[in-house]
Amino acid sequence: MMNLVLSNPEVTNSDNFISLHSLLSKNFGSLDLNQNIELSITLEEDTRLNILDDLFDFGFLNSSIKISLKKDSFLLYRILSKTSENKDIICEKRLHILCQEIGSDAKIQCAWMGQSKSNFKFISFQEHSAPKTSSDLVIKSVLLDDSRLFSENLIKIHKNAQGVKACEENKNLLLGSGARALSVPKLEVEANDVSCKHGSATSRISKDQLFFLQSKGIELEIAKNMLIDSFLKFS
Amino acid sequence: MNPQINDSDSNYPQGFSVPQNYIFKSQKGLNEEIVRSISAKKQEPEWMLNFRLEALKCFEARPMQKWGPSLSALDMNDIYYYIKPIEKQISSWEDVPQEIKYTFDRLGVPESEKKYLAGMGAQYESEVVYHNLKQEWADQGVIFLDTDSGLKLYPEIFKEYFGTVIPMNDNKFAALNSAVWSGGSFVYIPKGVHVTMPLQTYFRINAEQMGQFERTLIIADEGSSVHYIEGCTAPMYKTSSLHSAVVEIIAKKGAKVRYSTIQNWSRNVYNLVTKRAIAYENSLVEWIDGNLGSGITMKYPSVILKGDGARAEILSIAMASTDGQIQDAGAKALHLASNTSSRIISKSISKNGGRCSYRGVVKVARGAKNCKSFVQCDALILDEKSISDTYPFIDIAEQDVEIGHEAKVSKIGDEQVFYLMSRGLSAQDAQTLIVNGFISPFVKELPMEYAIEMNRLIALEMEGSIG
Repeated sequence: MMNLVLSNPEVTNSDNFISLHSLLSKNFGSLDLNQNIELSITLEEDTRLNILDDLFDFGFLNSSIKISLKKDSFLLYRILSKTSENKDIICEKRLHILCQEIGSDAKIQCAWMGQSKSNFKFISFQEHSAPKTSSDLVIKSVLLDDSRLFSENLIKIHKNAQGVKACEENKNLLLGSGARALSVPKLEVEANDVSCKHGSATSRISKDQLFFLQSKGIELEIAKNMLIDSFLKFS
Repeated sequence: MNPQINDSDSNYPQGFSVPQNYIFKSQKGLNEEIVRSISAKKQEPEWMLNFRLEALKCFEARPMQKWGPSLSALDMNDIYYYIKPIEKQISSWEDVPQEIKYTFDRLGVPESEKKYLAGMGAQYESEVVYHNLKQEWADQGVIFLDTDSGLKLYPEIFKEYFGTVIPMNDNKFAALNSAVWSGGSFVYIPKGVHVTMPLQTYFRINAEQMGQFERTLIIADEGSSVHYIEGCTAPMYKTSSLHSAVVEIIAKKGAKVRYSTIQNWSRNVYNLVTKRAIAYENSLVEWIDGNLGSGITMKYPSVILKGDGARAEILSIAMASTDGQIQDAGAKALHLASNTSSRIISKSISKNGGRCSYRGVVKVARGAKNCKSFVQCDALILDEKSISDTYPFIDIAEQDVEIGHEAKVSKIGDEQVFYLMSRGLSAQDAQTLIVNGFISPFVKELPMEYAIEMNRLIALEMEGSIG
């Protein structure tokens, strides 16, 4: 298990993400591609951090990451992954976000595009053990060919964690005849003064949107790619 | 003259009991001898005895489930698995024995039969003691019997469908029911017949440490429609009772079946039920499932959408209003055919240390094109002691679909309560009004008399919510 404690001056603005691979290389040297990454990060009080999880792009297919947020800290955690054509990748990511002190706030954004027979297992845990904390998870996937997504996402709010806002959203576009999306969004709420919600939606590309773009002279394949790109974007 | 009764407390008016003057009561516990004696008492054909014995083996072989609420406090050896209260079934309330008649009078059952229902069954302990179907429906070929009579009088239909929706080894408690089932309803609606008034069966437990295992089989033939209602209550005891039912519904092409339940068991009852329907081409199955009572309920009404164009609607409410009470309810919709649709709406309320869990499945098989499904789970937690969980499972293997799921957990909004209080309502009345509005999608699907009763039950549960 690799451990990191991060505090100011690791300040970033909203456009500036720190590469997780670079962070690990800087602190732990070069990493063995065969190892499963197990990492624990603590954000100290008042720390604001944007992390881009690019481990997959560097060939690390399995990782388990826990991030604990202290008082008034903020985390924006982004995963953007796209598999290659004709490559059957199987990968697993476990992400545990613990809002352990008042005022901490975490946003997790995951965009996954699977092709061929790739398989992505994403297990997340948004845990709130302190009051007045918030977390927001958005998972978007585009599944082509015979690719699959298994997404199990738990939000747990402990008894003393009043005033928590937590949400989770999973959207899947199934574009391959063999594609499959399995979504298990779970809630365990033990405090009453909270706002906790989740949503999951699965469909294919909207025919109306495709028709609209084609009516503007855009070819079908380009129109599809435009819609896929905009679907996977985060604000 | 009223029999000597042990009265209930005012919070659960149905919690009274009456003396037990029974024809037969088995020994406690379950073994092959008891299963054989049940079958012998009912004079069943050999195939049913063999079915029961095989199911007993399945039950003994299966371990207790590892998920969901713990059932470790339920001692399966401390339960009576069969009680026969009277010798023969009766079709006139005047002839029902005094204690039993008193019980059902007090519950308002004969009154509702007179006014609102096409037919009524009343199950007391293990047997249906009263059964009646209004002549106009019998003349149209409607069959509405207790399940034991269905087996005797209509063996061909019975054997064709029995155990086909829920096989004996589906799960541990379906296996238990398959071994010791007694009572329940057998309903057959002929082609094209629309039963415009509901059929109802009321299930009542009276004895302590009782196990009730009704088995219901409803077959709606092509183009027919029926609304079946079940209600259930039991006395309050300190010891546990067990209610483990199996309900199978077959909705053939173009048929419509609505199955409404208002479950209000006493807090000492374990309510572990398997309910499933198969919906064929262009049919509609509706589960309207209200769970107010019992100590622990585990129930997930399901619809297998097997024919093109079939539809499922599952409306479920659950209220866990006492410390330690667990309503683990949910719904399952399995889309196996194209152009099918399902809608699941689940509303739950947790208070006074109660716990409500939603457990559900939406599955779309590859090749099931143009399917639509929408699931909405809303939960209210009314105080700091209570808990709410949501565990949906969404498995989509077909691209040509539209699937949506949303869930929300919160408390009653302070602004809403303030607004109603500013209009002159007390804090408690304001909360009750908001809760009634919260569950209105369920209540508006009930016949009016039951909707009124439901609102009254909710108001009773909401008493003492403030302060």
